[in-house]
Amino acid sequence: MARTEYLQPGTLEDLKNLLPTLPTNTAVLAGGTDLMPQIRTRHPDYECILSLWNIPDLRVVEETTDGYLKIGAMVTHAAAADNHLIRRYFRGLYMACSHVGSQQVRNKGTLGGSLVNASPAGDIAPCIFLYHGQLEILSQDGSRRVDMDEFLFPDGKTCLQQGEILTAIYLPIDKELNSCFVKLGSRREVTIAQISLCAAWKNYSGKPEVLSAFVGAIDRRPCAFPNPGLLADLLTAEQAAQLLADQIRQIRLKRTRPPKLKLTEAEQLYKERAAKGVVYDVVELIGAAEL
Amino acid sequence: MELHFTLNGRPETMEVDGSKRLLDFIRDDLGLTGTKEGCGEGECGACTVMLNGEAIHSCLTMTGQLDGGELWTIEGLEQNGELDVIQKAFIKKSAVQCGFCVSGMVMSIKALLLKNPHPTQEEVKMAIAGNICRCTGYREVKAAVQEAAAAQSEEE
Repeated sequence: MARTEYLQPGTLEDLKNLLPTLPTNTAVLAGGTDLMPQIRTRHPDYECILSLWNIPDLRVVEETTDGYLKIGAMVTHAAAADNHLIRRYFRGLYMACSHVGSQQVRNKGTLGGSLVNASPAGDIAPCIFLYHGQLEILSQDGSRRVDMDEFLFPDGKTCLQQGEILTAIYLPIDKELNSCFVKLGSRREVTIAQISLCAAWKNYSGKPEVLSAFVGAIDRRPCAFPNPGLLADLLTAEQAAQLLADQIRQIRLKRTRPPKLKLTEAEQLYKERAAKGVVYDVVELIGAAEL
Repeated sequence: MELHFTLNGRPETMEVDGSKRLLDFIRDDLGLTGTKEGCGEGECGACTVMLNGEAIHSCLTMTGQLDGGELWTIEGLEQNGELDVIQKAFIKKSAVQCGFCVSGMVMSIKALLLKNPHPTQEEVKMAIAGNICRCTGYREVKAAVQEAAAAQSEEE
């Protein structure tokens, strides 16, 4: 087998110049936490590896003059969880980043890598939907920005084409906005979400009003929570949980392809039954934040 | 590619295949077999090393990602014939049984104590959550971390 070429540009300019020269079967290496297991199990014959690891501009987190927080695509989950701007303005994203995988995975895995990999169980994508984030994509023709809705299609595929690289995430800063993220997995740490739920709210005259909420890991891409206002109060939590369970059931019933794993009936219904747990966790977090 | 890096405190320059797994580079090319391969997919933590002061899985890293970086493996912790405080604490608290997970566990703890010399029990649990031990269990390991943190403080 021919040796795989390994390219590791040190600047964005060098990266841009490389893009038109890349062979079709090039793999883009961000943190490696998804690519390396994929190489190990599927043995794809990549002609070239394009590593983004040593481009400092892709690791910057900064406020822009037009009111966004720009997060470089190569910012790791650990760096995001430590970043004071992310903690201040986007608490839900901070909470998501703090509990991705293990410490070793958080130290290597990147926010951009998570979005491009587009796993339905990814923790970052629901947050980017929640904050109405935009993604910056670099190609040989320059950069463009797209909404998350245009980046990640309903079938779970991204809009990235050959020769395009995700370079940054832009989140609009709203200093009045508070947010949170919870996930339910098979264990407390180092776990993959069975369901995740993030919500954003504002405090109006001492009462939280939940403006938006997104659910992860129940469909191929995150889904908008049907009635986010119900998450603001313990009195309506039961109704919110029922709505989420119904939403999950509808997605399950629409699925035409049988699940890859052989699941018992109880396992198939697990997410619908567990919906109540994540809803109550979010309701309690909102309540605690507004005490 | 020409790789420039620091290995256990010593500067090195080598011609390498950048796409090779860092774990294979460490074990096969550098001959440092203290770093172990367990699952090979970032679940067990046996292959943990420190890159630029942070614990990472060497099985999920390409050798090219080491360029310009600082790599510490378990072999680098012993200085002038003396074990690191973490290694001594593992021995004192009997935190080792079969030993396969220990080099990864120690490197995770080394990275933790470098950043946070006085971790809480919760912080210790979070730091080693990605290091799986199937024989000793975690009680002795957590005790060893507190022992090492205390010994480190005394040395300072």
